[in-house]
Amino acid sequence: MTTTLPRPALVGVETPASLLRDLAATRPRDVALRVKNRGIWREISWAGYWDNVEIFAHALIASGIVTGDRIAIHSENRPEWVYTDVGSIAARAVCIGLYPTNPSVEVEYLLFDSGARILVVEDQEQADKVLEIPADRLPALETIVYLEHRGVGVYDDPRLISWDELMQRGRDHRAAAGDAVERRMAEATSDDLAYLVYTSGTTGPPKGSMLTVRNLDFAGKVLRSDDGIVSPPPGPQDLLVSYLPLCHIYEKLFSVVFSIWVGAQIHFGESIDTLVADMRDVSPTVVQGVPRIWERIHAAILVRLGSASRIKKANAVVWLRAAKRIGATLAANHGKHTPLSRVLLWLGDIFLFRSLKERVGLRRCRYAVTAAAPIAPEILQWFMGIGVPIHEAYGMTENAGIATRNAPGRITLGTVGEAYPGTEVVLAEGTNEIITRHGGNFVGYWGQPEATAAALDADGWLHTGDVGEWVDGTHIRIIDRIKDIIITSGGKNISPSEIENSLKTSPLVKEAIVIGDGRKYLTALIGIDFEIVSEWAQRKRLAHTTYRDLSEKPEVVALIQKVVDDTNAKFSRVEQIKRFSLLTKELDHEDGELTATQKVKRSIIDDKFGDLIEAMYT
Amino acid sequence: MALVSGIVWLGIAAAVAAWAILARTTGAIGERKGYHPRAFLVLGLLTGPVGLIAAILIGPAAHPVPVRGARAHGELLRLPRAKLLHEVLPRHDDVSGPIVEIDDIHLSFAGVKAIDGVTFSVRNSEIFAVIGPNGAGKTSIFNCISGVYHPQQGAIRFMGHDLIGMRPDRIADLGVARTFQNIELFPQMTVLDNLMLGRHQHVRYGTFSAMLRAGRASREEARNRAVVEGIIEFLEIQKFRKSYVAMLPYGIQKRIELGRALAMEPRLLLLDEPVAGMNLEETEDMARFITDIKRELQIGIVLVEHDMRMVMDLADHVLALDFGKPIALGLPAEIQSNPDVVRAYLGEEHAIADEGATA
Amino acid sequence: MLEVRNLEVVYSDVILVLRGISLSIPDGSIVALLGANGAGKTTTLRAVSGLLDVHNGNVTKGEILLDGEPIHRKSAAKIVRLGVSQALEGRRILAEMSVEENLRLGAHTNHRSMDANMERVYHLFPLLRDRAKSTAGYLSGGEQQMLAIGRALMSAPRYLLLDEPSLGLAPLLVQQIRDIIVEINRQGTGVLLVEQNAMMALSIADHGFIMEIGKIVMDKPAGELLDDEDVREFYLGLSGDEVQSFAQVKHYRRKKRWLS
Repeated sequence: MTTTLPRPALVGVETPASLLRDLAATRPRDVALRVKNRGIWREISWAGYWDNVEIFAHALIASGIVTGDRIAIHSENRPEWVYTDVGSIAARAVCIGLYPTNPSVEVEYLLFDSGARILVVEDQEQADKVLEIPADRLPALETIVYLEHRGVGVYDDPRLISWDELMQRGRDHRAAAGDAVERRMAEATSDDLAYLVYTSGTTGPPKGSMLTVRNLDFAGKVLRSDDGIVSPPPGPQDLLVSYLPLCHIYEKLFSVVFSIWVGAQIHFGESIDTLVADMRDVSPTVVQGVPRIWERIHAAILVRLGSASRIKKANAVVWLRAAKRIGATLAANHGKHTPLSRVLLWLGDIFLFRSLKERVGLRRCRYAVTAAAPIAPEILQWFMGIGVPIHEAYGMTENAGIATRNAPGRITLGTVGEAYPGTEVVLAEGTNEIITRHGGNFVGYWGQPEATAAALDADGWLHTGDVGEWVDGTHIRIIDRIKDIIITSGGKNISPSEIENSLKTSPLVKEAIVIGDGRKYLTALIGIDFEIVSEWAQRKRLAHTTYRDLSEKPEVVALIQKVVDDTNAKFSRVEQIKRFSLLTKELDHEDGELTATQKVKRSIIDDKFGDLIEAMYT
Repeated sequence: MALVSGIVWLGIAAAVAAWAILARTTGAIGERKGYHPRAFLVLGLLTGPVGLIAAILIGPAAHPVPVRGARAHGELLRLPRAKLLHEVLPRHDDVSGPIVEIDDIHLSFAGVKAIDGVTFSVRNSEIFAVIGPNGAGKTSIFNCISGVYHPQQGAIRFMGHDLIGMRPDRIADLGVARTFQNIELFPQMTVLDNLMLGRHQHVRYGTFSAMLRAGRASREEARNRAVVEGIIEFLEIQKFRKSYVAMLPYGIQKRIELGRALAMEPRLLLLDEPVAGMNLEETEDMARFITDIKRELQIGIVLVEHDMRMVMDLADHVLALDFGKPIALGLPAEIQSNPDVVRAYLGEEHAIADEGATA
Repeated sequence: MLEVRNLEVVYSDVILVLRGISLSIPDGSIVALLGANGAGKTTTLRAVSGLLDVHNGNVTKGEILLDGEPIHRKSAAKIVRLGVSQALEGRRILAEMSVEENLRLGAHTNHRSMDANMERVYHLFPLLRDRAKSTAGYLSGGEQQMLAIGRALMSAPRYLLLDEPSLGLAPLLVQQIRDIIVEINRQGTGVLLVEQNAMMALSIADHGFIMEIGKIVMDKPAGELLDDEDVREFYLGLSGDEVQSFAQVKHYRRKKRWLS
């Protein structure tokens, strides 16, 4: 920072807030955010973004928020989310995001554990979840700010105020004590906590990972570096749509960190229902997705082609075959084209791919990334084949989402790629656990020193809990979570997720949970995919009604037996699934069986389906 | 240069077309290797032009890049985003007296009495329910207010105007909008177009002045769109904006019908069985929108409905009719326990069931 | 036994409305079919009564069995003769004709026992006897509904299909219609009752099916449905034992689970 800036020089460190303020000074009129409101994409400039953030920070200071206080937000993605996020950091407070799907009991846990003093709720739905909790059980919570007036405006809880009222408080404060935020930002240090990111553990209650300003700065610099994720490196012309849950490190990394460190433009759509239309409107250049999203886009495109006219269908058949060939070439060449594949892609683009991509908003995508869960290489290959440059990456909350990625032109399918420059990612001796050490490593779990000590060792290594193996000496393939590794009573180590993923490659299987820790043999709980098995049953003229009814049909059990047999054929003798049971209900977050990110919570499954499991061992 | 690229283009298109046809005829490329290479060439030459045309038709031309990130009237619009409908539609807290007064109206068809001495009035932000057996004259009252029927006796005063004898379109212009038992929308048009059409019954400029001053017309159009977008947001139908009405579920169509009425910026809204044929969820949605209209827009609402839970929960006052005659007028609880209403309309069981539920 | 097995129905060759539904109506029982608008309830009835082709619909998969014999390829008239009769939704009576003429029309497949059937209908609906010579179009909504049911009964069906008989009726009339359905059933006719008024339907049904987007999502004895937490909340408007007030409706919806 130099003294030539038109504002008081920042003493202190680069935080998202200070970078945003600088962007507002250097590029005040450029677009930072767009939000679709009443049918129109409204633009928010960097100056407008900073203005809102600054006012929010003033409002926090006016409300008596001091350094280190916690501010929570429970909302779908929208500009107020990022105002709260960056505004909290500007006031040196800590921001906590809640999943919109978090039920009331989880809201209570998260608010209580973090001791949040202010909670921003989107609407009546989220307000009800917190108001349901007796006020004395959340002693720290002083203020509940609501964004949508409707339905909440008539409530009389004294803690409630509207967003507009809060922001007015901020404006008044700014008028009276102009540089309060500036002064607070100047005191900021790299060790300031920026976020508590709660990870919905598949075992035990969520833990709040403490991420500091330094962690964000590190992540931001990695993402925008020349050898980061995309080449040429990202810049202000890049467009993104913010749609994954913003409380998760993955979306935060893009909607906040990437946005501010790179200066890219973030878009907030009308609602989750209109995501496809919004994507089409924006046609983002950088697309961050999770396997579920990519699988859905893939399926949607195929379904759509299925209902096209005959000529179009014929055209699609030809070009999708070409896409397959392109994908295979790219997969074999680490994502690099051969002259032939380049020509094919160019032609395919004219005949088919361009319009396909257009429909789902991937037309201008120059970098797509998938992370957060394993994805089938076939899906990646399919997208690569139609010209979507998709890359698998790996990271976790505890290392600010930064560990490995498949860089353009150095892709190895089935792996999560290579370590980013400036990071240390290795496999621990003996256990083969992936451990990372870099500026993004978190500083610990909120209020849980033992858990922190278990994750961060004395040398600064973060133990990810994932077991990996090297591929070609450069890329890492993830085998499983360490604690999920099954040790049978015979003492054999078995990776259940490999078997589970193999089962799940069958479209008939939606969920698979392999069991066998401390047991003589392996068993599995399998959840069928209702749509697809129902379709099959119809062809077999097998009358059925509900999910449970279908799962209980002996014919369906026999069908799944075949899937299990196929999987068994691929694995060694100790890895054979001896028996399995079909789940009679679809697993669900609200019922506690899945985490907010749709991962199976094993402990809950053990409890809920204990009888089913025991029955397989008797 | 253009010629060269044209020839190259033609050649490529020909090859591609040949490939496409081969793929069709041989099953799939790469799966059967038995085709003759010369056939490839001949076919290519023959089908080149076809390929070119196909490329143009199927290719980029058919899929223009959508307009994105459109600037709103060239100005920077700032957040926070407004959510309340009254920010688009005027809110009427100015009127303190009744919006509409029905004074002892009588209506008969060929000697048959349809309405026999009905009197009531509706204020701002009031939900006034009219109940009664099928054929008791409820819809006739709507038709009198909206000018379809002309009562032989009595008066209807609306915001200082006497409505009797006035043309229906004039009454609509004054601010009376209604929804119908059977949905009256244009099924082959989109939701947006239907709502915009609702606006056009509310035009502020004549054809002639529109010709002279196109600027005003386009400003008016922009405002119309803004109002309609406000209604779309209010009724939470964003994802149906461009859908054809005919393709939408019944409950959504009813919601759009309500939107069409709101687009006319009414002071008085007449709702004729808004939840008939709806399941509980759809009924709840409708109840919520009606409550929100009352709260946020402060207009008067007359509600004809057989769903007694809806009437009793939402209405401020209830009028019960039988054979065109008023048999009771009062608060919902009074009407529910009124013996005449129970006998003629609710039935013993209903009254008892409801008492049981509220006890 | 009237049975629907894995029925899939497509309209105009493209719109898939029923995605493989199965249900059965045992002899002499009342079965309720509940669900949102657009879920496919009316389509199910049309498929059973053979009226799909009128609406450009087609059974693409599955079958409908009457005592084990497939009937889904048969004409509407044939199906009526086999003993399955539907009272049409929207009270599609012939408005210019008299009540009695309307009833006679309903007997066109079963002329021989017309008088006995007419007597049965008049017994169930004394009001129709009073108005026998009146023009049907001048009947009130409730009377038209009764006429529509009466007409369907003129073929002395073993199974009566009713499409929202309570639609648009005053509360008192809903109670009367309900009692009449019970009476019809008591006389030995199986009833498939499609209703939005879930409370009314479940109060008289033996078994209930709940449909959503072309699928059966729940299927239980009516008594169990009345006790099911989700059904109570989403179809009956009760939370716990309290009636939820429409004035307090939330601005969001709780997620349905339909776990079954």
